[in-house]
Amino acid sequence: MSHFQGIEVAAEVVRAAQAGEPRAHEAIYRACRRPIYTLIRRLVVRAAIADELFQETFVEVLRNIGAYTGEGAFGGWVRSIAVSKCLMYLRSPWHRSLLYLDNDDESTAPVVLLDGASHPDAQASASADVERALAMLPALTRSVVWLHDVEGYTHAEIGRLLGRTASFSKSQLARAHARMRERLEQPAESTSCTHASSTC
Amino acid sequence: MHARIEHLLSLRDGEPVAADVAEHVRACPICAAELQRIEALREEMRALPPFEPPEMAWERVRETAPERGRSAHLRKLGGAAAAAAVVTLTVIAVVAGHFDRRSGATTALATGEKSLPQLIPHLDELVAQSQQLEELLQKLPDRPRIERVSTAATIDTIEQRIQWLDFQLSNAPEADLSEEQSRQLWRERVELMDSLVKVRYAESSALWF
Repeated sequence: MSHFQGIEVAAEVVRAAQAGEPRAHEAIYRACRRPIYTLIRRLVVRAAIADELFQETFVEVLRNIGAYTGEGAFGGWVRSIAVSKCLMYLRSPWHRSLLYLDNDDESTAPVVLLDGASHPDAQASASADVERALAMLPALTRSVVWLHDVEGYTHAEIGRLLGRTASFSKSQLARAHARMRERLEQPAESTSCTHASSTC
Repeated sequence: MHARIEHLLSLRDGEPVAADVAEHVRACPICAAELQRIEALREEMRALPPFEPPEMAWERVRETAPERGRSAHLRKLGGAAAAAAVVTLTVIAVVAGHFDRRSGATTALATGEKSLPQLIPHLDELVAQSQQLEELLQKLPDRPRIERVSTAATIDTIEQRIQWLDFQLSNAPEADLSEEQSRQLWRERVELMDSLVKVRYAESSALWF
């Protein structure tokens, strides 16, 4: 499940933060920092950029906390700001000039393996393969698979966020799974039925 | 025929699929195993360990996000300063343009040369405006160590375009550009420099306030 579902920020803390109480600001930061940073690192693998977006997200959360009306979970509101910032970055000309978001050619896709320092056991565990398979995906495809499969966004929501359609989100998800399967499969097992667009 | 991955994903997510596809997946051990595999992959992704946020991040956020009471007051001041900056820059541009046009018109009258209409600036005027904007840019404070990604992206995009224009202009003799083509390039350079100065000014104003 999404890490945001576990975020508990009491209503009185939110109200205190809306009133400008610095300790409430810090309490919100401490409650949300890890899921927010994890989400941003999954969407934007470059650590330096992720750090900036992380900072920008919290600055915006604290500056605009008065706009949170109490409708929906507070964690969800914070998450929507982080997602919006990440996707804005991924769609920016600045980023597009570095990477080809929709490029099918994996040789030009961003291949940034995650640093072991953040979670030292990852390389040794089975999850390291999943980490690697995710990191090998193009940025936009990885964003779709993470937002849908982990964060629980619907295809319609992802389509709206990307300025595309729900069908686009669905096709990106299928492409992501096909690619991840290729990465995760042993060569001897790579002959069964769900390669890319084939039917068998 | 086995199910496509799109169909398996729809089944996994509880979305509607054709009845014959659903029936096939139930009966086919290969497709059923594949459905299980993509379900397991989703669980593995959800179980991935979280990342640790950078140290000192809270200190930077606290410094950047002003307290609520203060920020409202400062926003008003910042807005006034930004408005003043835009007015100042506009006045500089208008005055500079006026003097350039006037000197150009005087020269044209003295030489009896047929001048272009005033709304179409001469190449020399555009070059001079571009230089003035360069000088203005040099006078702005250094860029902040921490800034908004969107601002950095905008500045980067403008600077890249200016670099491309400079490359075109520096190769103008070899490229055999007409005066009109050169003028278009210089005009675009002036517009971009103007935008760059405004964005950089707004960026530095945000720091001051």
